[in-house]
Amino acid sequence: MKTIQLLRGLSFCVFATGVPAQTPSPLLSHPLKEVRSLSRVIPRVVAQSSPWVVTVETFGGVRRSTLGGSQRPGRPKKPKKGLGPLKLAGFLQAQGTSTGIIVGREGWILTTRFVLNFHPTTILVSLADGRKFTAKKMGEDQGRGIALLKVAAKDLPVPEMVPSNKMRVGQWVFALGRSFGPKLPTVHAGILSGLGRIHGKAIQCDANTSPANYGGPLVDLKGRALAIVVPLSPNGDMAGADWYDSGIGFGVPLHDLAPILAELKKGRIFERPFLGVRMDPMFLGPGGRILSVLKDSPAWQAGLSKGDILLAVNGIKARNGMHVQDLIGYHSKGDFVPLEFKKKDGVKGRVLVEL
Amino acid sequence: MKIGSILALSLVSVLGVVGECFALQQEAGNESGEESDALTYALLAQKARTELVARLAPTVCAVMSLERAGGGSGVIISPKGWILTNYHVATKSKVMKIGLPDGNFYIADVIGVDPGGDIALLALRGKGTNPDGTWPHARLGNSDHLKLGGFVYAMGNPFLLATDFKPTVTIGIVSGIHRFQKGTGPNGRMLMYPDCIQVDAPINPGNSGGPLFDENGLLVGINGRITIRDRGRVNTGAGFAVSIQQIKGFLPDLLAGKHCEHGTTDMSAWTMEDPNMGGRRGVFAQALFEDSVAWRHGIRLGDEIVTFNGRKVRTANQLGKWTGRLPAGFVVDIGYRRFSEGHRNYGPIRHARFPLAALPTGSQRNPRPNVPDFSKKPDFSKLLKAAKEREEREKNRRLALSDLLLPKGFKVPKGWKKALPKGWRGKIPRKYRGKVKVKKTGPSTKELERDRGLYQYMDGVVSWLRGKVEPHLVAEKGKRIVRVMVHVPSRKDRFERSWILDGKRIQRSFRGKTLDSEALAKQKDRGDELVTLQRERLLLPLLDPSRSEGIPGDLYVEGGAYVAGAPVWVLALRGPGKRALYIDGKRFIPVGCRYRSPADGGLVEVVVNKWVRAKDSLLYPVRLEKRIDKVLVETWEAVGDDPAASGFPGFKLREDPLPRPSTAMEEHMVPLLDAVVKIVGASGLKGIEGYGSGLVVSKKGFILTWDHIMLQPGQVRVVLADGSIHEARIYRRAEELGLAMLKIDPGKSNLHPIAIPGKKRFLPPGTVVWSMGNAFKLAEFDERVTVVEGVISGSIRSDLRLNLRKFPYKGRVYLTDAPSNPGTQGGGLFTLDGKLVGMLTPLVESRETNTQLSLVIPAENLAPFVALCLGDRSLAKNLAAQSLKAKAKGPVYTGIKLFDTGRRRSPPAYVDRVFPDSPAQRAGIRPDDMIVRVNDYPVRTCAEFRRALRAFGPGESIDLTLKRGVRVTKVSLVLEAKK
Repeated sequence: MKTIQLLRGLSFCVFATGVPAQTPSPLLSHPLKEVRSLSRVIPRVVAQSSPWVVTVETFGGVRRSTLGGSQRPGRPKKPKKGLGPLKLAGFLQAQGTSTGIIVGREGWILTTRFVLNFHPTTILVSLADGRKFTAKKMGEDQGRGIALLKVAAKDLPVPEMVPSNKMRVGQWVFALGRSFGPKLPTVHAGILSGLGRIHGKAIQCDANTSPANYGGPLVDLKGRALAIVVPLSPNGDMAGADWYDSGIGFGVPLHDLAPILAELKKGRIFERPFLGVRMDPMFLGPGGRILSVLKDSPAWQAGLSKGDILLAVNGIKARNGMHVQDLIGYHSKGDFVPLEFKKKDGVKGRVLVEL
Repeated sequence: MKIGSILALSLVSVLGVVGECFALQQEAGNESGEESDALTYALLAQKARTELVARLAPTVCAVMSLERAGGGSGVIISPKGWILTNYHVATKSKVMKIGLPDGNFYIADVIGVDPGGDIALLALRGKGTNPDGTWPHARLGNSDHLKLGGFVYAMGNPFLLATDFKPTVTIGIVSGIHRFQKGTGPNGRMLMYPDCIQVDAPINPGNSGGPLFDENGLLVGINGRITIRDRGRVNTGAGFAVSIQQIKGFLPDLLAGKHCEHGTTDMSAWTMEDPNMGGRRGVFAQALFEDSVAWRHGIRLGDEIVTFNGRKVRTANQLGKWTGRLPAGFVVDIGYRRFSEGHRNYGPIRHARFPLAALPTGSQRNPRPNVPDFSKKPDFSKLLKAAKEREEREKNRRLALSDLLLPKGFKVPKGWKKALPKGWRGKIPRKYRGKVKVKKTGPSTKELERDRGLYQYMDGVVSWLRGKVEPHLVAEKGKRIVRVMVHVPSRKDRFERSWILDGKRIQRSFRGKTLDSEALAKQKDRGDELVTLQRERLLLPLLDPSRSEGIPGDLYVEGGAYVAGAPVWVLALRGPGKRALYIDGKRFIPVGCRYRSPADGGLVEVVVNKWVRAKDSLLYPVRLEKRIDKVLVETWEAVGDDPAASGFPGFKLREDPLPRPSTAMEEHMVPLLDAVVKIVGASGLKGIEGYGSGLVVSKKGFILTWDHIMLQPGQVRVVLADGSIHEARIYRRAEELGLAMLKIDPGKSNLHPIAIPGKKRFLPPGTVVWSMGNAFKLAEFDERVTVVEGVISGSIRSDLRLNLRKFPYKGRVYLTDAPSNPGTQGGGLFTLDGKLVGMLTPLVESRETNTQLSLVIPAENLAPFVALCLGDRSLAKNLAAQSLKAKAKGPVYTGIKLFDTGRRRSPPAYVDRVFPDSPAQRAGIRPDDMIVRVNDYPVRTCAEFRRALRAFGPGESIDLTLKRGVRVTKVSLVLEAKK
């Protein structure tokens, strides 16, 4: 009798106060055990990944104050003296060594555009086993900040890649780098902080990223490559290198590059897209309201004007102005993108613009 | 039946976990058992973490201002849609734009603010995003239970990166608890962080106001501040979060819509050596005004402060921290004692019990956002004069079409000028009457008179609200009744005024007279009174919760408290002896309780024997201008523990305790933290921080540290783990290593030295490590130094590749991603099993990457110097041998002439000519080769090649890596002396 009453009392307790919907997992209550396991797993991941992480060195080149490409025009600032990163024209400049990932057995190396800022005359790639090759730059994607190199080598080890839909926010990621050229890559640990950043082109991690590992991979606990570490910032410039070691690092998922890899191999340069509209930040949605249209821009030619509301880009419904900018930013220059819009007088329409 | 289902559920969940184990085991492959176990565990823990993060993410929001571009983060803490964020994110705004992770915008009103503590409370408008209309919310934890080393997650929207408002998640450990950070603003009273949590999770601008979750997913802090270096506003490894226990002390006030005031004892106390008896440290009152609240209750200058609310006070920092968590009006008990010259001893401990005074923060914010500020009365005489003049002018003016407010779709007829009669003055033609209105140029004199009357009325109301008010709120069948009992002490008057709100109808009763808005509307010529009555609705928010649906029973608020992690408002029922307790919105009626409330408004002690859940529930506390008997019960040691033993009254409740974080990490860290001491040296010059850390290497008092310019003879002091301060002398310096050994006289203090392993070890990159040092001088007296977690990134020779600036040590170093900061130099890097990896160096700039690196000198390279100082002869011999190894250097000859144009920027090292019969020719170097490496040293320019050669002497052999055409080769060269 007493036992039943006790049990009934217990169950009443449980149901009266309510089992909290968020019962914490017992696995997370033993952080020491977890870090001990990590201390064994991470060195193994580093050693396993070493064969396909390479050093990329650049020689020569011209240091221009306003750099070409899609850099933001502005008054070049004087470099700061004393302690502090060397800044030229407002950007943190690389000075030679960086990292790369082997993405093709026939000698295709993926790295960042960070080292190409000086337009180097020679690019040298060193593999883990000591072999060194000269490399030729093939294609680049300025929106993502990556460049593809070709070396004359065969049967190179290639990593296993992880598709974007298998990545989870909160999982461990390790940024590997070979910029210092030691026997084993350097590793910086962190977690995946966010998906779909920089117009949906990059993932964000809180591992320290810096020129020590730009161009290197983000790997998971199993040693599979998720992304390549690239210095980026929300407006897409290379100025993202200012955020080194701040806990905000970006990586471009390797699996997402598969569709454009063929084009990159041919040497195509993808540029950042430009539509020519400014969105109204006060408009709360759905859709984004246009504040101004730049003359002779693709939007101008398509007939868009101030006050129009963009409802969908490429078939995806836009939630607000920032979302419109993201959807546009995901493409590259030269892409044909269908836009759905609603004019001020309520007339809806569709138009195809070339960015 | 119920029991069976519980058992069944638990069995299923266990099987689920076990099943996963098996699946992952198979995936892990055929590695050795231990390795695959580690991987399995790590993968399972990772899965649990990603699920936890996915569950917590919907509660994190982005808080943005409507007009400005900036913003921060916030967290929803209640299903009703209350959001906690930082005050400096909300500042002067009254309404803010919120972005939730579903990607949409919502609007929230700012309800209450705490500028002193940097917290603001917002309320989301409208229905929630959950299917039942509630909002997804985070559960509050207890920050006092946090242990060092446990994982914490900071979520938010740094740099507004998340355009879809899905929060950025960063992970870190608890680096320090109960940290004190000064405030900003006049007298440092705004944005104080008296009791904050220091974490190494990366927090950046934009994370402000966002939540800090502990390893169980409970909210333990609101991120608000970071330390920055000269790089600009990015994280450098130390972030601070306002602790949730501090916020809980102010939550009742915030929910009531108040502009919170922090409490102060109004006295300044310092930690100093006992001025009367000497030999020990104590906390003494050094500055207090004669009209301060501490003076009025007996404390005088020079008194020693012994206890605070029953706890022993060791340092003045503690006093500041404990007071900083409490609001004004909170009753505190300070134990103090006075030195008596006659007895040459301290007198007995006396207790001063008083409510804390209010600390003015200097904020200009309007405390009642949705109610007009009746304290700002407009100048009616001026306005009336202007209105009269305007009306005079308009009386004789001819109206034009632009003066009319035309309804939508109104078509102005052709020839409208003819339609309006000539000389038309002020009256709209019959044809358009009702459809067209004249635009108002300003308030008419009639309206202004009415407003003036209302302001005068409101003046009166507000003034008697500041007296003692006992509002009784009653709800009756959907009507809202607000009954205010007014007691005016100056007039010795007591009267009741009540309003009944029934939809749009409002009825006011006062001294037997009743005014009804419906009745007034039917009567002509009573429009003024009607408007006044309708405008009294504005007054009611002062007394009535804006979102309440009616409160059953007659209640009045006596105070608020926080018990067992849930908000509690101690409310009294009408009638003697009956009290009700509201926990998390649910009402509990005490059955059999003892209750004591002293007449002067002191502590309310409610010791409850039994609680029964009441059927009805209260939703929100009442908004009051001023409360009587405002009481907040401290709950630090209260619930769950024996209230009598804590020395402070508390509540005992029957509720599931919150899961507490694990203590394992802290247990492992504490012995190591005790071995890392704080060093204070000479300071004053710009760019030289006069503080650092050191490692205790011997019980006799030898402390190893980094040789820094602050180590000036006679100016070095070491603070040990127990808070004792010792003068130190510089025993020995090792310039070539950059190390220094200090010697102190430990006195009565117990030292906990660490062993310096002398054997060379290889710690692979990826080994998890703890970095301990006094970053930013955050730890004072007996507070523990900062601990951050990271991995060993790699190991490299400091003179190769890194191109370091001003770094004396030349040898192998470890690179780590556990951040070093000013003050950590001399601290230690440890593995998880407590062994020393090495000593932390100051942040060094690498010209290779143009970044600052966190480097560590391996323990085996420290060992010979330590052995030399401690007198161990055998190990010391190694040190001597190392220094003798300095090679005979001199100018070398290679036989290579580089193609160097001599311009300002040195070109790549192309070989122009190779001299005959030279080492280069013998090695096989040809013109047009490009030299890319000397041994492991990268060579990108001619200047770098020359610099690389300086490290070698004649007779040494070097390996040159050359690029020849498209191929890369390596040759060996023996250097000769230059002729």
